[in-house]
Amino acid sequence: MIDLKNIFKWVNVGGARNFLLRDLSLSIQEGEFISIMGPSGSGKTTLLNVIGMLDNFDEGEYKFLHEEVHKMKEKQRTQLYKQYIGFVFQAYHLIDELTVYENIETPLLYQDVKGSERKALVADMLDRFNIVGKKDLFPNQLSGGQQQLVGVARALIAKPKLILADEPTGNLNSKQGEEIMQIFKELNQQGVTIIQVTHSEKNATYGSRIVELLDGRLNN
Amino acid sequence: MFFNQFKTIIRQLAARKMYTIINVLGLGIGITAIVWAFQDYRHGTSFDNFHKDQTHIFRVITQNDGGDVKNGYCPLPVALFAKQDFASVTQSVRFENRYITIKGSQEEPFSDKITYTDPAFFDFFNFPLLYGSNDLTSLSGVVITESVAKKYFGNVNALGKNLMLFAGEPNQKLFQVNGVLKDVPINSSLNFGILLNFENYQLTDGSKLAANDWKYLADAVFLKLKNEQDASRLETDFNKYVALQNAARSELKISRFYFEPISKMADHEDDIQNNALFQRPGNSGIYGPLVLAILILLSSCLNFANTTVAQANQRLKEMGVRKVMGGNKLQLIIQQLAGCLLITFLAVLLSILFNMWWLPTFSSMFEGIKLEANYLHDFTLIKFLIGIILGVSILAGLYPALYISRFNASQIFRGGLNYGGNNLFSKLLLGLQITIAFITVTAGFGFARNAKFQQDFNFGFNQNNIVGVRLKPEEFTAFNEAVKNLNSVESTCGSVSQIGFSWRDKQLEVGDRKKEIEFLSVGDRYFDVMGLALTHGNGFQDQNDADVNKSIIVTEDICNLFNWKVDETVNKQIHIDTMSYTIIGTVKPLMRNFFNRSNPMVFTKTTDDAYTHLIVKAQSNKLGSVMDQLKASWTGLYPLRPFNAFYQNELATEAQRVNESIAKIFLWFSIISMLLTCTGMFALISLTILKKTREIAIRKVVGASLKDITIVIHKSYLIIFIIASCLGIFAGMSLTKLLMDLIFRINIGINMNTVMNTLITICVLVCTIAAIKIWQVDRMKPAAVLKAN
Repeated sequence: MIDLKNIFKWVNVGGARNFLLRDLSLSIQEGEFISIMGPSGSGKTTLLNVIGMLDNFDEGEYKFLHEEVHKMKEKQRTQLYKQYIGFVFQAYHLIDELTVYENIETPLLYQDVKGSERKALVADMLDRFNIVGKKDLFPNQLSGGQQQLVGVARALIAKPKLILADEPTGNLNSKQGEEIMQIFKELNQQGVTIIQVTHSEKNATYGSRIVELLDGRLNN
Repeated sequence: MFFNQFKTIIRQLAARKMYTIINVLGLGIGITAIVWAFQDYRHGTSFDNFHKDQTHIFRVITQNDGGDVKNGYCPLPVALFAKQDFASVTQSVRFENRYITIKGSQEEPFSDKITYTDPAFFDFFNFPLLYGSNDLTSLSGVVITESVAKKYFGNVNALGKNLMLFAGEPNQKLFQVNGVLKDVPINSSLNFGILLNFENYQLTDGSKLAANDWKYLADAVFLKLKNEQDASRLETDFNKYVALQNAARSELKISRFYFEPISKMADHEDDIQNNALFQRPGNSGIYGPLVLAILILLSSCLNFANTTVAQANQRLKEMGVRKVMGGNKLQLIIQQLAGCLLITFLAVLLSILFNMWWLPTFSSMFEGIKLEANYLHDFTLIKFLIGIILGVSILAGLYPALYISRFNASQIFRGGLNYGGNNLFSKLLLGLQITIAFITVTAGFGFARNAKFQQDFNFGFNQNNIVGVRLKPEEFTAFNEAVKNLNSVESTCGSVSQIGFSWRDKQLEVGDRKKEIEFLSVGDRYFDVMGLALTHGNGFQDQNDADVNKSIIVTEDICNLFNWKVDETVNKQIHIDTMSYTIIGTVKPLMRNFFNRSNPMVFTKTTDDAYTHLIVKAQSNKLGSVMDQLKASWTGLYPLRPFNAFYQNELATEAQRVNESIAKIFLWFSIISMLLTCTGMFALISLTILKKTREIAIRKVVGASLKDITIVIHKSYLIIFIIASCLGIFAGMSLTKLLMDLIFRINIGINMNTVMNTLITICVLVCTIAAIKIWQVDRMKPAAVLKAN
């Protein structure tokens, strides 16, 4: 599904290159549940952003579902990740001015899904995550765990093949964290590929494979 | 999608109520101002544009012999002979106003204006008929406007009713109302209430006027040409009439004729003397409001742009999320602009409310202006407002929209992007806003000072305790006897002319040099009553006609025209018309009003059987009661004749009223401009503090004093303020002086006091805002801030 070859990413600091990713090669098969681990500054989030096409890299090759991402224009990349990728963030990143229902509905609007279909899909998602009663609430009226549930629901609404989760339980207590990880596990069992960035050894065990990073390189 | 974005926008506006209110209010005021200025501009530039055949109709004006002065009047026979002599002239119309006594169905007669014209008048001009007929061929019929109909006949149908016109007693004649017109539009140079056939024109002795007599001048003559291109050729061909006119009126010689297209007639009326047509507002009245309104709108737009930029930072996360969800750049830009569009739309609604009050208030301040705004049917105004909505939204929203939509989501989520408020763009906007505040406040103080100056201005003669009564020579003696011993009357005199109200423009000749002057014929004691002090020589001899047609007294500005020394002016010989005069005395130059600088004046003595004015000097503070007593005496003597009087200070009062209105307008707008600037500054400084919270907290922890913190926060704003205030003071002084000169020939200008007042006012406001923010920072607990970070 994902094939990264000799990826380099750097920033120029005072004329010198500061490498965020250095000669990184990684292959991920469809249906895997990958946990990316490593100390702070090792490049975990950068790698996730590169995989999610939110960030560019400076050298190397990236194939997503056999498509050469590094040769694509931004518009094509957007089209690709809109279709196949869902994002879950540590800080949830819900739109404060939209209700739970509207937040979950937003990705469908950008995919031009018709109103009646949108309604059905959002209703399914609310039902699936047991948050029907919260659909008219705004993010600031929810707990952290509930917000992350909405974040996951929003990531799943467009039926992505890949979920990218950047420390999805980082802001949650242990019980809420376990609930989210359980959901990820179930999603993975249903065939969704999941790549999560985590500091937690325990959360990493939910995955099928751990990828360790150190100073922008693979450490295993 | 649209509803999703719309909901977000509405909720964002609701969540930031204070910003929303400030922006809607500020923009509402700015749009109110620009709609006002736009309507004022349209009024000023739309004069006479409602006539259907504009391109073929020309007004014939004349130029004085030996000068470059153009006159609105035209020899009467031009209208007759032009049609006969030139095939390209298809029709002609004469237009002559005259004030006479009129009596309708009421007991009381009125002194009112009537207009003699030709039946072809309605072939030339579009003045819609309400009912009846606009046929002017009948010699016993009149066509009146609806206001006149109401004035003389109340609310009943005026058709067939009679009007008695006293063209010169006993020459009264009964006329029947044949038609009623809609009132003449406010943007018409031709202003009339009662139209009648020119053949009815009677001279004061009751005799009829001969249409081919070159002695007589009409207020205006209009010609209709087959081809508009013929106008310039006809101007030359009309030279054949110059000799005829000059032979008939040797004292009023002309050098040539001009053809003025009626579409441009109003634009040039300022340059035409003896113009009996209604004049449009001057350029200052058209472009002054426009400049002021643009400044106010710009200031409110800058405020809007600054607060939009300030809020953009808070919207970064939403932009990032939308990008991740699949939103493209264009969608995000449109969403940003839609927020601005909504605020501007709300501001337009507010401006409609404001202008329901402001347009009539402004119209009441100035004579001859009636501004209205029809938001439902005036498509030009609707298009203008749509343009304003789009323009303001793009001006305020495009830059932040483009800026924040260009970041990619990972940059936003990584944090550290700190856009809004502290960048060069925001500082430039704030600087411009401060500059505008300086301009408007300088203008406010400048015009207020000018109003005070004009209030105390010495015109060179008695202004404030003089009443003039217009009368016929045969009425003078009896009326003078009746009033000269009244309690509050200090003294009286007779005169033919009156400074500022009645004079004749003539040319004064010395050798081969000719200069335009105002020629006034005055009676015994005129100089005493009017408070005119001789600077050299002697006055006219009272009770003696020795000076009549021989001696003149001149204002000292004549000396400048001929390079005479003032003390050597007496006894010089000069020529006016065909008469030779000796200068027997001089007085200081006199001013008629503030709007125009008067030509030099020449006073000559007239005989007491020619008096057409009784000039009355009232005791101090008794002017009102004297007017009442004069009216009562007049009614006792001449119950059927209207009392026609004026206060001498009417002209100055009008100028003062105009100036006070302008000062008031500038005062309001300078307050608005200052408030907009203050809110803009408040928002930006708040944002700076928000962004520097952590830095300030750390500095506090390591021992920075309040002074150090103040420097951190305000240093960049201080530099902006200094630069903007220098620019603003310079621009404010220049623009205010320019505007004053455009409106008033006589004004006090701008001095350092005005500049200092402006500087102090704005400094106090700005320092207050700065102090409030510093006080808030001083109360900030660094430990709490650092913990939160």
